Amino acid sequence: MKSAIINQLVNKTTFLVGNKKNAGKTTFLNYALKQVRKVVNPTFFTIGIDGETSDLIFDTPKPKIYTEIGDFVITSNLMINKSDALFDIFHVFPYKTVLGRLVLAKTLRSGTIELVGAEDNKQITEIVEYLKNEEEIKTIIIDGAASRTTQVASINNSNFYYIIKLDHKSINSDINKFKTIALISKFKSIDNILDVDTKNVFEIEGALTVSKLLSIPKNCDILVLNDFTKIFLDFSQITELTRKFEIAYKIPYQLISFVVILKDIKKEDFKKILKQHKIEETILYNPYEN
Amino acid sequence: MKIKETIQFIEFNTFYSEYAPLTPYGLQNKNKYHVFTDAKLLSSIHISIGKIVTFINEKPIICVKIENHFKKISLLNSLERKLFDSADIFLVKKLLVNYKNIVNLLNDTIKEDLQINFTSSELLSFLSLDGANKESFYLNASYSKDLEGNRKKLAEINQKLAEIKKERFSEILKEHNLDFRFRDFIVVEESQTINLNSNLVYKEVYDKNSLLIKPILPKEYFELHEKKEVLLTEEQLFEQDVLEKISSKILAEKETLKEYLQKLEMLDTLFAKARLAISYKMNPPVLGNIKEAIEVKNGYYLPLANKCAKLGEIYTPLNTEFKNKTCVITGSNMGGKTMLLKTIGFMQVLTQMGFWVPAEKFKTSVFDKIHYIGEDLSEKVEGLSSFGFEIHNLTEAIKDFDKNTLLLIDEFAKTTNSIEAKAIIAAMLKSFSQKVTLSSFVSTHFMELPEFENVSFYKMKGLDYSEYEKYYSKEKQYSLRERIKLINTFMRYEIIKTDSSDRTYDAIKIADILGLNEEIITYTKEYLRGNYD
Repeated sequence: MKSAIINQLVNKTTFLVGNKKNAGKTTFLNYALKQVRKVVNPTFFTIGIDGETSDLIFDTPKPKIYTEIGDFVITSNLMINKSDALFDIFHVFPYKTVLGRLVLAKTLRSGTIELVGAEDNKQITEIVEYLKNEEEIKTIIIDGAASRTTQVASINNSNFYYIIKLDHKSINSDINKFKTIALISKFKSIDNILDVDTKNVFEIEGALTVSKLLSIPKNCDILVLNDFTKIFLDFSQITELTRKFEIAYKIPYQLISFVVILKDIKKEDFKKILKQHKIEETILYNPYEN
Repeated sequence: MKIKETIQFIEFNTFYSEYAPLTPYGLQNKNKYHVFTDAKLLSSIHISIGKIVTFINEKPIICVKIENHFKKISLLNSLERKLFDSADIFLVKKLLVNYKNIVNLLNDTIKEDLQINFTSSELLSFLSLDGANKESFYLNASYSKDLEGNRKKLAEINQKLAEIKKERFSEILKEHNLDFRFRDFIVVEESQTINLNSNLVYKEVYDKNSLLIKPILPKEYFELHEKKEVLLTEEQLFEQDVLEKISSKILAEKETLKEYLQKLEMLDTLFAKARLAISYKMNPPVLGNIKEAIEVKNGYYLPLANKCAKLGEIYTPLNTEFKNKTCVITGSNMGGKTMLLKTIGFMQVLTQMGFWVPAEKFKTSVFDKIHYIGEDLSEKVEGLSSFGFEIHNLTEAIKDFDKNTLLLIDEFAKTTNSIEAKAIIAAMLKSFSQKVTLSSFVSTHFMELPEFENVSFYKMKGLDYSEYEKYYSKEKQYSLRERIKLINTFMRYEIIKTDSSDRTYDAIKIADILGLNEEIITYTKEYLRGNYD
């Protein structure tokens, strides 16, 4: 499993997306960083100041992020000054946050760092382009904002882990969300659909909402959306649509795996639930479990 | 100068989007849309572009290197402070490294012309203790003996802490098969935690089924950690001293740095303008006396010329030497009257924004004001009709007639009754021709306007109907797109000198080509011949 994670992350741009606040993204980030460092020094950053003050796994104050010698981090200059690690500043981005301008810094002495990140998708795109084109950085991990997937669509061909926290109280709605993400993540990129020219393609501008369903022509074969984050329908509505036509995206991306964090639910019981709902997705269970 | 309407009319941004300065300072300059009214300054800018064009042509690789340095420069944080942090200092260092490299790569002609030099070698060396020409920055221990000693102790403690952790983790792994090397904690089912050694690990409740296990580190680890905390606090104080030392050095050169930024902005914009000059085979405009009329030789209105090139259609460049400063342009519908005004406006705006022009020759003068009056391109003012809007704009423009003004008027009063509209245009021409500071170009459909001294009449050559008739087949069913293409093919977009008595009846031919019903065409012709009741 560990080597699989390394292969999934090295030389790629990967987002960590959570289904809710305190889903365990930062804890998973620390784990992923440690795995990646076996092969290459990662570059990591976060999106905005997500306001998560605690972590599911600890249920204690938010876990710190460790940076090791050779890692590149992007955070604000104030956080760089505050850290016990020592950094060499490589670039100052033009974006201002309330905690100072965003900087790219290389770790010279290990320590902990608080991340402050890009505030919109345009900034994420520009930052990733800068890292790839100017610094020739290839392994990038982005700690995404909780319960928002739109960021994943800011980068072409990005990957993401969907970290889903399931607890006894909200199991039904969590499973529905799980099923929805699993379903919409399987739709192909329009570039990968054969004989598109011979089919009736209809493109939805912006979000696919219930009110827009009426605008889809009856002879439509392929419904094209910009990306998977533009779907604002529930599982049953999407399932109904897939019976009528194929759904495709303009921006390709790949869901690497679900990372499932169980609380008050036994793994065996959860596997039974998956079976009931016919969910056969690749699942990475809490890597902190023995 | 406010030229928002003119910019919209001439579709300037389709060209301006290709103008690409590479530094944030050049981009800020671009976004100001600065229009110069100082002829001397404009001439010097046009000459400097020439020197850079020559340099790019002679030393293309060096110029790519220079542009690469432009791209690396970031916006500095404010220099109006007493203390800079590491990020501020990094930005200053990066500016100095790249500016120095740019100066070294430029030739003497440009350096002398723009008075560019680099005098901050000492400051740059001070900021480069960890390597000359290295662009990154951190507070290197070599800045202070105290900092050096402190960092050494910190490194030793960090190493010991790592060793203690490693030893404890291997102990736990051996005893309990729990691997903490890549995990800060491990979640274990409660039933499996009974035999865990409480000296090595401690347990917390995770959920109703599991416990969260964390390693217990030896006392020595925490003692060392406390020492580390003290050293980190000390380090911050030593770093503060170094920051103060570096800040004072930077502040001593504050004015020089500001001058570098100005020069950089100028150089970056000149390079971007020179790139466009080369790409569009542009020439420097000739700035003449304000009393002289405009002259254009092979002038290209790029927003249209580029479109034509894309569609594979022929573009006819503008060639004319206007005799007077008040010019009336008549001609067919779709005959290019508006394009002529746009070409003049485009060339003039380019000239006064410090660009070269896409023409073999563009002789003009520098205007204090440029006005466009025509179709309402912005949001309508509530309660004002198109005619009302034109009158309002004309009234505003007239206020500037005591200054050197270029006025472009496109089909004035076309929405009002033709008798009064023609009278107003005649009055305008009479008035304009008496203003020595005004150059005006008035396009109109109205024919037989009165002649005035100092007013020239021109017309667009119009449709080559005899050539068109040879090609056109009555039997063939043409689509609208094909009909428009036919008009474009046989329309002669050339300007010719004429007089006020010239009559152009292309409108009927155009209507015919566009497919207007034959009965109406016939009745129209009868009406014009006077045998229509």
